[in-house]
Amino acid sequence: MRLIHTSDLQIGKGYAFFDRDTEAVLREARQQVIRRLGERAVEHGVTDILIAGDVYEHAHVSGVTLRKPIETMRQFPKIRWWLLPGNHDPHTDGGLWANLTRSGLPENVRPCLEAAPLQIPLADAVGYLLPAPLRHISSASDLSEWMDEASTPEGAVRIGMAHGSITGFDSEGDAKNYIDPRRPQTAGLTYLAMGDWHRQQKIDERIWYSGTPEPDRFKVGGKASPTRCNGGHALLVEIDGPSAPPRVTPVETGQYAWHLLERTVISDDQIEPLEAEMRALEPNLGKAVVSLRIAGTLSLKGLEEFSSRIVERFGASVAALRLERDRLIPLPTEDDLDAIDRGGFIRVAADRLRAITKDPSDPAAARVASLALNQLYLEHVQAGES
Amino acid sequence: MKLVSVEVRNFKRFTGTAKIADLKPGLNVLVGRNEFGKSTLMRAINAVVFEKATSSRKEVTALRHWTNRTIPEVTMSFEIDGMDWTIAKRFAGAAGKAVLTDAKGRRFEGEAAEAELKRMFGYDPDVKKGETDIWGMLWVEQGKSVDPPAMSERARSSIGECIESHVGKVVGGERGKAIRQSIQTALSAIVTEDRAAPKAAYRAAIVAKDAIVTEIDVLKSKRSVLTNDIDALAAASSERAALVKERGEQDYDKKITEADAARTRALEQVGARRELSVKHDLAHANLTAAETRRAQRAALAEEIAAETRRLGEVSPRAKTAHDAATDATNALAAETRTLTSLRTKLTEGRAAQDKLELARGTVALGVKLTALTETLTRLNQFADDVKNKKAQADAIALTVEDLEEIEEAERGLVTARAGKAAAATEVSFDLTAHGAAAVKLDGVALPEGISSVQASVSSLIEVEKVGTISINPRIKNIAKLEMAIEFAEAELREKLAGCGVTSVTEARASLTRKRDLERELQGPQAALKATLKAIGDARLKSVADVESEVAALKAKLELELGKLDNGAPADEEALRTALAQARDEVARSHEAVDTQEATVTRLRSEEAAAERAAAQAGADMRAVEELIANKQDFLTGLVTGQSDEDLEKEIARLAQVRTKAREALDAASAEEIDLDAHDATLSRLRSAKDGLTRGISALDTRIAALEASIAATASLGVDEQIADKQADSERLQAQVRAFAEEAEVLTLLLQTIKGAESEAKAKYLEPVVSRVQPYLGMLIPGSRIVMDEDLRISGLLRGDTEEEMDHLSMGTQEQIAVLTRLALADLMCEQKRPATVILDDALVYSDDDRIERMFDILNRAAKRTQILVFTCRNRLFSRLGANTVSFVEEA
Repeated sequence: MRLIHTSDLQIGKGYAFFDRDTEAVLREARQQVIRRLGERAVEHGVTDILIAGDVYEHAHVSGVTLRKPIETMRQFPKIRWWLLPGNHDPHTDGGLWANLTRSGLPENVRPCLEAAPLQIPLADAVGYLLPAPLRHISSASDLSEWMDEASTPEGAVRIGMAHGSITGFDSEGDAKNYIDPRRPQTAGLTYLAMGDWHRQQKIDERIWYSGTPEPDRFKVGGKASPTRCNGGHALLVEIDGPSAPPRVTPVETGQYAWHLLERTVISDDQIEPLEAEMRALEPNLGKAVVSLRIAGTLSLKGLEEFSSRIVERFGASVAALRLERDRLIPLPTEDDLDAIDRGGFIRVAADRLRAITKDPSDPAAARVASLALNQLYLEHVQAGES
Repeated sequence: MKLVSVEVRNFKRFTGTAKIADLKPGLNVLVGRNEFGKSTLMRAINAVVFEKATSSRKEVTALRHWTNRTIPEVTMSFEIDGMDWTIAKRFAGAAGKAVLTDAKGRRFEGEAAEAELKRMFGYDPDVKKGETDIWGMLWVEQGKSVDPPAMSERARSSIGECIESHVGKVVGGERGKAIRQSIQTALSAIVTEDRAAPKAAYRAAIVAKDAIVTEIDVLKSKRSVLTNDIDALAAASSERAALVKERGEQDYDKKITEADAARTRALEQVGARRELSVKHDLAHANLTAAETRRAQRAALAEEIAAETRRLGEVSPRAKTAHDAATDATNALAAETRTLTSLRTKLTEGRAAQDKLELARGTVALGVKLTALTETLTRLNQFADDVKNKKAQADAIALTVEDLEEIEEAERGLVTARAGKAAAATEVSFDLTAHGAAAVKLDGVALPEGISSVQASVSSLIEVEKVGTISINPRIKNIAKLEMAIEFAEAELREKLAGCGVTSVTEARASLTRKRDLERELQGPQAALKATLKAIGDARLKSVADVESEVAALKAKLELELGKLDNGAPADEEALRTALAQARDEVARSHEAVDTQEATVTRLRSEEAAAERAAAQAGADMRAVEELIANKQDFLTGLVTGQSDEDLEKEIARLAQVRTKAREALDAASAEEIDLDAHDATLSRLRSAKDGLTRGISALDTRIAALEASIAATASLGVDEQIADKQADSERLQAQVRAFAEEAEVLTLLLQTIKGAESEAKAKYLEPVVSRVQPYLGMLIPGSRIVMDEDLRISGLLRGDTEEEMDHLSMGTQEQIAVLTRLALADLMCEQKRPATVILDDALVYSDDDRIERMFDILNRAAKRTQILVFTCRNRLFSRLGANTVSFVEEA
C-alpha cells in the first residue's frame, strides 16, 4: 500500500511583497503543484494522494481558483485524491466544500467532510481513512479523538488524516488545533498524515508532517541549507500492514526553491563575494526565489555597485528577488564626494548633506540626507554616462 | 602681454607693406579716416595669432589681396612675460609658413610655431576653427562695442579659471546646472511646483490606494453578509432538524383523530339536550301567553273602573271653569263701556280747552297791535324830526372846502393890500387933541388916536387954519400893486358869489349853522334806532317794516276775531281762569281713561285665561270619556272570543304540559358536557401540527434562500478578492511611501543645491564686479552692475532700482560693455595671462561728458593693460592723451 502524503497547497495564496507579475507566476506554480503531485504518484505507482488540509488558501475563493485544482485532479483518473478541510478552508454549511460537492466532483476526487471511516478501495489490502475535518478555523477539542472509537473491519489498515499542531510541539501552524501525539496508539492507526506545518517534519515513526509541496514563505527550515526555505516536498508512504511502521520518503514537488539571506555589509569589498554567494544558491537560478535582507553601510560608490551587481544583474537572473534594504545606510566617503564634484556648488551641497547625515540628533533627517546624497551621486554617474 | 608692432603685406586692401611700429605698453591710439584699414589691421592681428598659415579655410583665403589675390603676410612682435617674440605668417594654403622667434633666438616653424603660439595665448587647439577664445571678447570689432561681452564656453572657462584662482572653485558650471535641472525635473514629475502636492504617478498611487481601501471595505461587507448567511444557514438547518424530530415524536395525526371522535360524541349529546329544552320553552311560552291574556282582561276592567272614577272628578271642574269664563266676559263688557264714556268726555274737554286757547291768542294779538301802533307813532315823530333837520342842513350848500377857498382868497387880498401898504409913505402925526381936530386928511378928520397913516397916493392934509399939506408919494410899481389888489378882490367876490354869500363872515356863519344842524340830527336818529331795537323783533329794521307789521297784525286780528264764538269772554283774566279750569278737566279725564284702560286690559287677560281653563277642563273630560269607551270596547271583544272560564281551563292544561317538559329536560342535563374543552384540545393539536409544518416549510424556504445567497456570493471568492486587494493595497502603500520619500529626498537635495548655487554665484562674480566697480564709479557714480553667472551684464543698479541692460541708452550700454572688458582684462593680467584690449571705433555713442570720463577710465586701465584704440575721430581722441601710433604704408 503506497500513498502520497501532502498538505497545505493553499491554492489562491497571494504574495503582496512581490509585484503582481511575480505574484502571478508564483500562484501559477501552486496550481501546477497538483500536476506534479499526480506525476510523482504515477512515477511511484501510487493510487491515493492524501492532502491533509488547506487545499485552498481561503474559505471563499473564486470559481476558477476553486475548480482549477479539481480539474487538474480529474486529469489523473487512476489516482484518488483525498481532500481534508483545514483551518484555511474549513467545512461549513454553504462553504466551499458544500459548493464543490453540490456542483459535482469527479469520481476520483473525494472530500473528507465527516469524521467517519472511509474505505480506501485497494487491491492488495483493506484500508480505511479516518479523517478529522475542521468545521471551523480552530477547534478547542482534539478532532482526532473520534478515531479511537471508529469501527473498521478487523485487520484493516487504519490511516488517520488531521490538520493542526501536535500537542507538546511548538506550533508552526496558523491555528492551535491540537492533536494528541498518542493518537496512532489509541486509535490503532498505522499512519497519521498531518497537515498545517509548511516544513516537513517527522513527529514519530507513524506521525509525519508532509510540509507544503510548493514553498510560499521566506522561512528557513531544515539543516540541509542555511538559506533554503520550507516546502517543496511531499511524502511517499509505503505501508506493509496494519502494525508495521510505514516507510516514509520525501519526494520533491516544488517548482521554485525559496532562499532567505540576511547579511550585513560594512565595506564595498563585500559586494562581490555576496554576489558570488547568491549566484551559488541554486544550480538553476531561474528556479530561485530569493529574499535578501541587507543591513550595514556602503559608500555611495559601493551602493551603486550593489545596485548594479545585486539588484540589476542578479535580480534579472532569478525568478524573483525580494530586497529589504531599509537598514543599508549610504556612508559617503571623500572619494564619493570628489566623484560628485571636487568643487563648485554641487560639492558644497554634497558637503552640507553629508554634514546632516553625521548629525545623530535627527536620524530621520540623516536618513533623508544620505538618500539625497546617494541620489546626487547617481546623478553624477548618469551625467558621466551621458 | 604687449603688442609691439604689426606689419602686413598684401593683406586684403593693403598693397605692399603697411606697419604700425611704435606701440607702447599703456594706452595707444591709431587714428585714421574711414576705409583707412583699421579693421583690416585688427583682422591681421587676429589672423596671425589664431589662423594657421597653412589653412585653406574660406575665411583665410579671404585674407588675400582683394584685387591681385597676392599671398598675404603678417608679422607681429609682442612681449609676454618679459620675453619678446615675433610671429610671421604667410597665408598660402598648404604652402603657408609660420615662423615664431624670441629674443633668445629660439625659432619655431610651421606646426611647432602654431602650437607654441597657441600655448602662449592660451588658445585651445581643439577649439572650433575661427573661435577666438577670450580674445574675441577683448578685441572689439567695429560696430560691436555696444554688445555686452558674449563669451564662448572656452572664453568663459578662461575667465572662470582666473576667477577661481581668486575665490577657488565655487560654481559647478554647466554640469552642475544640468544636475540641478535633472533633480528639478525629477521632483516636478511627482509633485507640483507651487504647493509640492503629489501629482502624476504619485497622485495616481494615492488615489488608487484610497480607492482600493473602499473596494476592500465593500468586499469585507460582502464577506460579512456571507458569513452571516452561513451562520444563519447552520442555525436554520439545526432548527429544521429539531422540528422534524419533534414532529416525529409527537404523532399529532393520531392525537387529532381521537380528539375529533370525542368531540363528535359530545356534539350529539348537546343536540338531544337542545331539543328537550326547546319543547320545554314552547310549553312555558304557551302557558305564559294564556296567563298573560287572563291578566290583561283583569287589568282592563280595573282600568275602566279607574277611568270612570276619574270622569266623576273631571266633569264638575269643567262646568266651574265654563262659568268663570262667562263671568269674566260680562265684566269685561261692562268695563269696556265705561272706558268708551270716559274717552268721549276727554275729547269734549280737549275741544273746550282748544277754544279757550284760541280766544286767549286773539286777546294777546290785540295787545301786541296796540303797543306796536304806539311805537309806530313815536317812530314817525323821530323820522319827521330827522327829515326836517336834514332838509335845513342840506339847504346850506356851503362846504368846508368852499370856506377854505374863500378864506384863501381873503388871505390873497390881505397880502396884496399889505404889499401896497409896505410901499406907501408913512405920514406920522404927533398932535395934540386940539391939533388933531384941526387936521383933515383928504378932507376927513383924523380918527382919534391915530398916530400915522400910509399914503400910497397923493393925499392932502388940511390943517385948519393953517393950510394944506399935499403928500405925493412916488411909488415905483403902484399900478402893479393896485392891480394885484383888484385881482384879489375880484377872486374873493367870485368865491363868495359862488357860495351864495356876500361876505367871509357870512360864509363862516352859514357853515357853523350847517354843522349845528347835522349835530342836532343825530338825536332823533339815535332815538329812532333805539325804538326799533326796543321792539325786540329783528325783522323790523325800519319804520316801513313796522308799518307793514302793524298792517299784518291788524289783518290777522280781524281773522282771529272772526273765528271766535260770541260767547267767549273778551276779558283776558276771565279767559285765563276758564282756560285753567278746562286744562284741569282734561287732565282728570285723561287719568280716568288711563285707569279704565288698565282695568279693561286686565279683565281681557282674565277672560282669556278663564276661557283656556274652561276649554282644557272640557277636553279632559271628553278624553276620559273616550278612553273609557275604547277600553270597554276592547274588553268586550276579548270576552266575546273566549270566555273567562274557557281561558282558565286552557291555563290549567298548559301548566301540566310545561311540568312534563321540564322533567324531561332536567333528566337529560344531569351529565355535564364541555364542548369548548373538546374544541380547545382539537385546536391545540391541529395548531401544533400546522405550526411544525409551517416552521419546517419556512425553514426550507429560508434555507433555500440562504443557500442561493451563499452560492451567489461564494462564487465571487470574497476572501480571495480581499487578499488580492490587500496585497495591491500594500503594494500601493509601499509605492506611495517610496514616492513620498523620493519627494522628500529630491526636495532636500534641490534646496541644498540651490542654496549652494546661489551663494557660489555671488562669490564667483565678486572678482569681476569688484574690478568693474572702480571704473563704473568714475563713469556713473553710485551705481553698480548686476551680472549673471555667465558673466553677462544683466542690468545696472542705481540705489535700490535695477535697470535692465536693454533699457539703458546705447551710449551707456556701450560704455558699460567696454568697462567690463577692461575689468576682465585686469583680471587676466593679474593672472599673468596675455590680455591686450583693442577697441575699433568704440565709444561712438558717448556724449562729451561721458567720453571724457571714458578717456580717464581708459587711462586708468592702461596702467595695467595695454589698450589699442582705433578711431577715425582725430580731434576728439586727441584728448585721450594716448600714445599716437602711425600707420606707415609702403607701396
